[in-house]
Amino acid sequence: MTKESKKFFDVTIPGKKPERGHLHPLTIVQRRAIDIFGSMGFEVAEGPEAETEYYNFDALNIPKDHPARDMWDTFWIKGDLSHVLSGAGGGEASGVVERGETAARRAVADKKRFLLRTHTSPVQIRYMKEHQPPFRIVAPGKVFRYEATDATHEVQFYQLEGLMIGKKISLANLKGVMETFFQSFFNSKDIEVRLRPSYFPFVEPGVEVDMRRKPRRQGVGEPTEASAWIEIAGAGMVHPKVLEEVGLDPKEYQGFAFGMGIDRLAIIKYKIGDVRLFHSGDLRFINQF
Amino acid sequence: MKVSYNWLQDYLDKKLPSPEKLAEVLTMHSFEVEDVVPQGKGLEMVVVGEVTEKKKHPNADKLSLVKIKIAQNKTLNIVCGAPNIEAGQKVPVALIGAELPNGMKIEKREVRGEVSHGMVCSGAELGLEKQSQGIMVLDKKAKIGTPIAKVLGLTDSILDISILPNRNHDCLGHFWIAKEVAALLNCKIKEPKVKKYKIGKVKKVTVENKAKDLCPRYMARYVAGVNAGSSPEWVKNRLESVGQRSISNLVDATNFVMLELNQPMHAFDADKISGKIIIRRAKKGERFVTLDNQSFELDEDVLLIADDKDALAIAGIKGGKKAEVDASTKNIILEAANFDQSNIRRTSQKLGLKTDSSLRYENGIAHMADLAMERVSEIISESAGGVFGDKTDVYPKKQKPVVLGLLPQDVSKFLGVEVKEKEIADTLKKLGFGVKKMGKILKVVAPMERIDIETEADLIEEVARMYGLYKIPSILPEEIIIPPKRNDNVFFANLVKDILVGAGFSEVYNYSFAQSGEVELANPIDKSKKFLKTNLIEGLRENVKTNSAHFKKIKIFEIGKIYSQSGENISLAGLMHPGEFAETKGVLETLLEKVGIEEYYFNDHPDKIAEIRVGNTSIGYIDHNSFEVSFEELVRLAEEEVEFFPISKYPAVKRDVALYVPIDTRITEVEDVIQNSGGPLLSDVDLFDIYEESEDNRKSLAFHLIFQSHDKTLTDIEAGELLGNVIKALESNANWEVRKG
Repeated sequence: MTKESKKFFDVTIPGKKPERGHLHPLTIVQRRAIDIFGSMGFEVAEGPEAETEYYNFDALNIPKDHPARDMWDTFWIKGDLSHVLSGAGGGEASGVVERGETAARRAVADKKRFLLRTHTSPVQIRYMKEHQPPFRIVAPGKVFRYEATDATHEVQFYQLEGLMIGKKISLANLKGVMETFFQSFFNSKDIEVRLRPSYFPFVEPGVEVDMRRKPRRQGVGEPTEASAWIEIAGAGMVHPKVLEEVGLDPKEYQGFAFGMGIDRLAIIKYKIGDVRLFHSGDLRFINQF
Repeated sequence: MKVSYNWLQDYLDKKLPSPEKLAEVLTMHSFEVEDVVPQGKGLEMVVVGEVTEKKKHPNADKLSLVKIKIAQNKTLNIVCGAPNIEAGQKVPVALIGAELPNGMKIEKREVRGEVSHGMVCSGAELGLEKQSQGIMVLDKKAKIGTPIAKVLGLTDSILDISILPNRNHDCLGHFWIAKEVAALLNCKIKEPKVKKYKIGKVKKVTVENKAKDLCPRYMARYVAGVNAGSSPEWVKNRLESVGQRSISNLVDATNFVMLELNQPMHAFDADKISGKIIIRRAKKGERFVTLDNQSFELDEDVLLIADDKDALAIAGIKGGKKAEVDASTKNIILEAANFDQSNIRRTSQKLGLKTDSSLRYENGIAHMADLAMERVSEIISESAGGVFGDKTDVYPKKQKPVVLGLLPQDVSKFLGVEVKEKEIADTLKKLGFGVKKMGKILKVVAPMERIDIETEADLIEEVARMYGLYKIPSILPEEIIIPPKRNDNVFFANLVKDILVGAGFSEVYNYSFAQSGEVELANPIDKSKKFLKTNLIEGLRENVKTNSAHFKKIKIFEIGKIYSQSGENISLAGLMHPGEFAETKGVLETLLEKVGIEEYYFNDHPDKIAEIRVGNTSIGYIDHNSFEVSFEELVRLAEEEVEFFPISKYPAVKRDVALYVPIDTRITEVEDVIQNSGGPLLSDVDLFDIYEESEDNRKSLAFHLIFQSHDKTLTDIEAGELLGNVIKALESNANWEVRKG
């Protein structure tokens, strides 16, 4: 006992916590991403999850019967949604694809076939068709892939699409924006990114964005080894064919697009080992955030 | 694709850097090398040994005790179970500490009382074949102690390269990858050296193309008097190194050329063909049996290679039984062709038939049949002999070179870093492009095999990746900083989520699929969930089931899309378990008020407790312990601006009123009367007690009424008068009885 007359009080008594709920980790990650891009002037754009084949593929320079379509395993929708979906249906072509038809006719037909979007990239097309450049948008959203699920694959997950178009937006700008974003997201100036060759039909050049923690030298805090490079986003300069498709002159406008997995960001940030937890509804998981 | 390091080396005039270094260069400039596997991996501690003595194991009939000499002064005692081991043989011996390709670790161990110091290996144990009969017996000349990888020529490394889809046109062939490597490493590409072959007066193949739209080029060549047999070692080695089985000298030659130049080829047994080669569409219902005895029913969209009578092959995909090359084949017809890539892809998907050949055709390849025909002729001549006839080339429309104009400053503008004109020109030249300066632009001619090059942007990409994308600096865009336009859906989703989390609810994400609905999937993964969901609440109920084992109280919500024939809409649902109506309603009221929706009310609903209405619009429903509302309506009606009312400086006066009303009277009816009669100074009405007297079929309601003025302190008399007005109004309803005293 202290010699003061203060009464004994057991400070180790458990505190009574007020009841509160928890945000889903994907919400937390998505918010943070939107906030950071928002601070760089990127507006949030949205689009439908049930899309036309045209917006999901053709308009993005992914023609029918092209092997590039194998990059996206697709859920197809029965029936016709053109009465509720803007930019769907119309035109002279029937739903049946004839031999030897032109790309344009095929695109018309593809406005009448429906699917669950396999990426957020159709939002780019919808936004560009409806607005005047310059553009600076991010489009977060749910996407679907027709594939077996396991710890690293899901039939539905979340992507964040980005698009910046102006008169002289360059690949160096893409790198600048990516680096700024990841430094801010992971709250570390030590994050660096690198670009390396890749291929997505709607960009040219297409790049893979890798990220790592830079090595720290002696004298600047604790010296550390560089971490391994990890793939974090796909990106590139918007393909001239895509710009033409939305009615922009590629000689006048240029810019970059990127796409990253919100689930993947969450997995890296929180070291989550199994993507299926995100859609488990398990409160033992959600209550940790 | 599996790429052999040694095979690439064949085409280059300079020694390649290490496989790992090469992999890094390719990954940073061309395409990702996902793995580098040295062929001798796992064989580092396997050496040549000589069996100097073989004795029966004293305690086991099927085992032998052998002495294996691995060096002049070192002999190992090993227990061996293979029946074919004999003294005098040279054999592969795994030493203690070895970890074989199949994962087996070699340790000193006792086998039925005899100690074994290693293991004599079979081909399977060395990872060289799938199954083995007994141990592998080596050439007598093999020197003891030599690493086995060296003796077997396993000096290659296999690069597992994920060729980008736009380079499948060329880089599924080793030669073209070598060309890429030559550009990257500043060395020269060497055309492969093979001896000349014998051209003679033999049959010229007659080809009739009845489907020109699907077959832009068909080249064929007759070869007489070949000796079918096995391939020379160098061909076998190359094929096996990249995982292709060696079949025969004739088939191997066509496969070799495909893996070298990316041109699929086919060899038919000429003596089994009746008449000419005809390229035609299949007849509806026509049946075809492939080399490996799979039978298909075809339709008119399938392209066939046929003779006067029968189909010989599904063009570009797979050969058939009829003209199969076998051990007795004497004369062959070689094919090198181009087929329409979309058609090959559709056929391959329709038949579920994917082959090395269809993969290449569906990606599209350049018109290089002549090059490939030369190459295959050289190899067959070396491996099987024969006299080669004239080439038949049905090739009406020649592939035109792609000529593009490139404005050098566009490169810098795209990349955001200065690249000099000379560097641009040199880079393109290294990759085999023709480059000529014409005024301000560079006139660029793409190499024949690079059919991926279509626009100026493709040229910029070539320069960018050769320059090194990793060298491009980080530069933030110079743009006017303007805050982005607010997205209301995002803004209010954040607000709603925060309100609900504050009220103790946790957020879940559920799948979009459901057992029933209005929008159906054509190819559901789970057949029991082939619709897109029409509500969120069912998902939340499932969540309660799965969580109830771990939690007594569950409060959850979700915001997400629901789908109906009227389109997709964003919905918001919440559920508490256990929960009751008033509690659920309280949550919803808090939510609506916090997003600035004041004018809501609850109305009867046919199968839920109530619908929630704002004006004439129904925005959703509420049930005992759950609610689901249209999030989009919520956003439309929401008022973010909260109007501030000044706080009165004068005290509030509280008066209570209680009354009996029939049991089916709605509380809001009573409240309305109070509100309407209380006057402007009635600032709040608050129900604080409710009880039912079932025998009288009535209930008692008790309210606090708060009166407050902004101008003065209300006196008792003034408050009493105001209350009197309210009581009078209540009493004007004959069924209501205000309780006095």
